[in-house]
Amino acid sequence: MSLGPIAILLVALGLESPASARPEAPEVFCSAYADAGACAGRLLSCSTCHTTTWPPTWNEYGLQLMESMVELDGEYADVLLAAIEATGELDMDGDGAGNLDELLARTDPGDPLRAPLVCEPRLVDERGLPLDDRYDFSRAYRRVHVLYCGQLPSFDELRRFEGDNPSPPERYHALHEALDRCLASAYWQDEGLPRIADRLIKPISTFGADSKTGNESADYWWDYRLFSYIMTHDRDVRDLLLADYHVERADHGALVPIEGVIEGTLGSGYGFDVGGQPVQAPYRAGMITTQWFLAANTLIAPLPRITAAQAYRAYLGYDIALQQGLMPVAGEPVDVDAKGVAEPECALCHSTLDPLAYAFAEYAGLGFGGQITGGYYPERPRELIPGWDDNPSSLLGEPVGSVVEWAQRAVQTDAFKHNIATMMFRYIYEREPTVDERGRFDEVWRALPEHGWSANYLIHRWIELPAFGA
Amino acid sequence: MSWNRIIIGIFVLTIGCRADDAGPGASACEPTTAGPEPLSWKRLHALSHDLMGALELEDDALCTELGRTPCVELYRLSLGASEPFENTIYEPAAAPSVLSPLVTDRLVLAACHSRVARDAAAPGDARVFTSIDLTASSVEPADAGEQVQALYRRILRREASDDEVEIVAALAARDDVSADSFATLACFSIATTSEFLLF
Repeated sequence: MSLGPIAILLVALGLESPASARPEAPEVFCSAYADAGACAGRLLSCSTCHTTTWPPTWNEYGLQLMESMVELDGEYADVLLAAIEATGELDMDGDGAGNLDELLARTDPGDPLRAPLVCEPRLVDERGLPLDDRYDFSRAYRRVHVLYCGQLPSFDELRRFEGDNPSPPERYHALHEALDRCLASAYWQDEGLPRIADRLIKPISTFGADSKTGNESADYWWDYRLFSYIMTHDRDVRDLLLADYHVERADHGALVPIEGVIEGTLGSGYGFDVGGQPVQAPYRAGMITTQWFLAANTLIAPLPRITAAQAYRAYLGYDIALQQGLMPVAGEPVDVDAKGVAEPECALCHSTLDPLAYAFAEYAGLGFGGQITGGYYPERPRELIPGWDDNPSSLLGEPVGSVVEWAQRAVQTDAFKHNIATMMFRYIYEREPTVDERGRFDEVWRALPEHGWSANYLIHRWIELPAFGA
Repeated sequence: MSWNRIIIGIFVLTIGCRADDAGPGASACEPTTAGPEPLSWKRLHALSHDLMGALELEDDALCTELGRTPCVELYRLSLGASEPFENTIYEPAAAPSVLSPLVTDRLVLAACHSRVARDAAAPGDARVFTSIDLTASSVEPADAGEQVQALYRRILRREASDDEVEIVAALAARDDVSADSFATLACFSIATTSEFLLF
């Protein structure tokens, strides 16, 4: 029986509690089922139950859940969890696995093509290597070169790799040595990593240092250099959000860190002081306080919601526009700048987004009124936002007093580790991990701190997956 | 050649073993994930650098339109690259488009032609086509086979099998195929194989 009419009836009867989208639902589930695969480094997505959240519409699983909820009394969180339990044994998508088992395994209770594994594939072969038995070293060797050196190995390199029938352990070590060489190559530093960084930095040449239109706003090459520096040579990837330094290119091409404020050198049609890095070290938070990041995202907004949303999307993997990572703060949004965001259809996301953004209000976007583009001005929110009342920022349920604290809190989250791991994984496979890769995927990113927070560690593990040598 | 058909043809949906796959008392895991990973599209940078390396060409000699605009810039999206700076396209296309095979053919043919022209202009300093006289009106079968073997090593980075040598060398068997035409076609044939264009 279709449950659509039930939902329509509930809305018509004004039964708002079960018949509306509730942005706290993902947090409620992940608090109760912290070990669930669906919560591993992530918050459950609204799309688990909804097709849209305003007006609220539900997928088949969501309707089944709601039908159960209307029969229960109590607080929303208790009712939701009870309904999840009550419908847990049911199999909404008919793939043989119960709804709750699918949530726990992150296989989506509404997707009949994805179901939990009975057990994980064997990843340690009979030779003692962490590889599938059928792993093809020669194919893997070629793929390593294309992906991380930017070209195939030469005929002679391949012959040396094949050698005199080397043993699997010898090939295994030769493969990882080849990967290390490629990860130290100019290609990886100056082409491979920058293409990963594009979606984080979002350059626009018209407003960059190379602008041919006289509209230079900031120099995004600082951002690219910082990203490549941090992501190479086993450096700590947390510096993406914690670095209080910048990175310059030495004459011999190597990237080298430099300290302090960088004076601007570019002219601009608007007279901004651009091209340097104006934020002093105590207020720096890596990639999210560069002049380009602040100029391009904040522009002239008093409350930099886009800036906060991009930081949340780029470094924690939560796209608020896709209703990911919603963790509403009680009493929010207060609509501090009278934009109407307290309306119900807006509040769904702004109850998370606005508290994310408050801390960023202390940083200028494009420089006006004597401010330098991307500079740090603690009085800025009070000067620009009439309703400002030292509104406290919050990230994933914890208060943060500044962008620096925002960043320090962010790098402690599983979402940060998960996001970096996903970036490196997607570069190779151009997809998300499959159901049978999920266990190993989660195991590897969780171990990132034990391996020096190195991006190279992640890449070495990803090439050992069966798919790489298949 | 249809790129989409290649990609779709080699795509195998992997589905893990499910709860109802395991019989009573099953103790060993036999996941149903044996399907091979789809081959990956060798995108612009690797494709152009592999061609440059194989044919010893600089990037500006690879392919240009009207003798001015590099093909790798003009067709970068169809060749699988992104265009972040000018067009804010931060993610490259997930799969080849209908234009991709056309511009790939264009790029490879131009690169092969460029190398043949250079080697023909300076036979004493030829880099790639050293087994045949590029000014001749025909090619001896043995020379054709030797040249094909050399092209396999350069382009695919491996030895050619006897069958592969025979197939490509057959291009020289026709009376109306000159040595330089054979050289260009042999290069083009090998550098447009799925083995070279996918990885």
